[in-house]
Amino acid sequence: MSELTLTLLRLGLLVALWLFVFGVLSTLRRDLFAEATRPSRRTPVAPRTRSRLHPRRGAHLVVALADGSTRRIGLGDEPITFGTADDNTVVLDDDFTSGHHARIVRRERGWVIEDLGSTNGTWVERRRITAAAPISDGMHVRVGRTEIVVGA
Amino acid sequence: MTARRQEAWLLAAALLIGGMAFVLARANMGVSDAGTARELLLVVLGAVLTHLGIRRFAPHADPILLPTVVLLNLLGLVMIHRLDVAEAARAARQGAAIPSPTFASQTAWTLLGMSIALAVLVLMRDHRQLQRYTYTSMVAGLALLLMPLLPVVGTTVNGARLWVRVGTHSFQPGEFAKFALAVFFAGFLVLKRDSLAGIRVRVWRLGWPRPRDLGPILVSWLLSVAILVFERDLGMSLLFFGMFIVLLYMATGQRTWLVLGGVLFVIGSALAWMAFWHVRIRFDIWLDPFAYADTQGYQIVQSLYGLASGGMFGTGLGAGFPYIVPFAKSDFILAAMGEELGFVGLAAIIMLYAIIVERGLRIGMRVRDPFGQLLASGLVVVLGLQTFIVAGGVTRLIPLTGLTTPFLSAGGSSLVVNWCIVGVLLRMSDAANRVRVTP
Repeated sequence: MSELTLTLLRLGLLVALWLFVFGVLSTLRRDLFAEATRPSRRTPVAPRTRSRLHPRRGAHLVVALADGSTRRIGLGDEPITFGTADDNTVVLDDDFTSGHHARIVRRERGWVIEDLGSTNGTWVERRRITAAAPISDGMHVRVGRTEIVVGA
Repeated sequence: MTARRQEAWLLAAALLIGGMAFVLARANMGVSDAGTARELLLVVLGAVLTHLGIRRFAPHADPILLPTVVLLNLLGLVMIHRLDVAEAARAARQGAAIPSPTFASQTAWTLLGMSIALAVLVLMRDHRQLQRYTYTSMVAGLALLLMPLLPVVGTTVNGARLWVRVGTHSFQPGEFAKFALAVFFAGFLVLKRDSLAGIRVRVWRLGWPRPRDLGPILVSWLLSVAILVFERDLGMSLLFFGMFIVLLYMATGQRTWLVLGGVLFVIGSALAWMAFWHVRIRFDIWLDPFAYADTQGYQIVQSLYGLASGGMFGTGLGAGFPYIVPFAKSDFILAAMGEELGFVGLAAIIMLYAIIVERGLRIGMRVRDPFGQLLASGLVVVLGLQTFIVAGGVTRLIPLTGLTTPFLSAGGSSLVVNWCIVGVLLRMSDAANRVRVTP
């Protein structure tokens, strides 16, 4: 191959490399733009009929344990975790509950419940949750065989 | 344009650029035999099959990962082939036996890596399966890290004890530990992040963790110091501690962990500097390599000369002298790239790594479970950190450490593990992008 062809090929390779990079970057930009305009994809909206649970006094959970007894737990700034392991806030003795099953954490506007990779899942209003789900007054949550009702 | 069609186009572009690089390197070196055609064809076939496998088993997966990784892998293969030819020519001149080419084995490892990525997609239907192996991964990761210390199988190569030899085969268990520990850190931090993030003691207007929550960070620090002391491996030590700190920060959102990690790192480095000759000499070489130009600093000095002679646009593949640098195929492949592709080419390569890291972090943001979020981030943080440590060492930004450059360097362990990471990321992005009914 002649000297000229080699030089062209050498510079062509660098141009091709950068074209590849820019090609990828342009799809990334489209991607970011699409992400920004999509309506709140990351925070599933709670059913409209109920008002959001606002952080104020009196917000609590009524936990109906698998053995039939109930407990009342106040919602505060500290996260509440559910599971069979001893380091949970609410220790559940239930074969259908995982060691670290779910937890409720305080966000800016109310509380959300999150599944911690449990075997049998965490259910909010009869739907198995896949992301952090906001909880509001009167909502029904199931963790293993434990039923939880949110109160304000 | 659908994601899969996008992937096909980008993959075609990547294969074309790789082919161009091969033609250029061979033309510049005046090689015209068909010695590499069969291997090259197999790699192209492997890449296409991987693409088809993604179409079948992970149809919503990220379209950018595969082409980017294939491009890096091909550039590495070109450089390795090019250095093979140079080595053979040198051996012929000296009348010595011609060393067996690394190119053939590197192609085999590439194909194995691609098959493993495919196997991950076929066998692992949900990345949350990995969460079950949180503590198994911890045991596996620690065992792999400590394996080179065992008598008989452990081997010391170039002063660092990080190889394990079984029969005629040897591998670097540290590369596998990278993956196992990413799984462990993600699973562990999901469980513990409440106590690590929530409870603070106020000192100097900043919230600090309670003394008893310092356990994990201290244990990982001690482990990385142990790797440094007993295996004499600066790179791996830095890599694991760095990954843990970054993940701790990501899991808790508390900057104090970064501060604590930085302080521990400085203490560890200072102790190592005072106690060990092999650390001190690396430090001295870093500060003034030209004082050691003919002895321990030879490698880094030649690497700097190579980068300088490459200049802005490089000498062109096959036209430079990257083989003067010892270990140009493995530890110093970025210096070889910089010499022959120039600053412009090396910057493009760094951009490819940046793209991979960006994709991983985005997958982490999109995936819905907390374990997946940390796993995706952890896996690409490791890749990014490793590239930074290598590139920083080769260009004398930081002291030199021996690590492989992901997807570029000659080395089976590293290539196979990194392809496995790509498989897991593809599986997770498929889950994250799948359209589902939102409540």
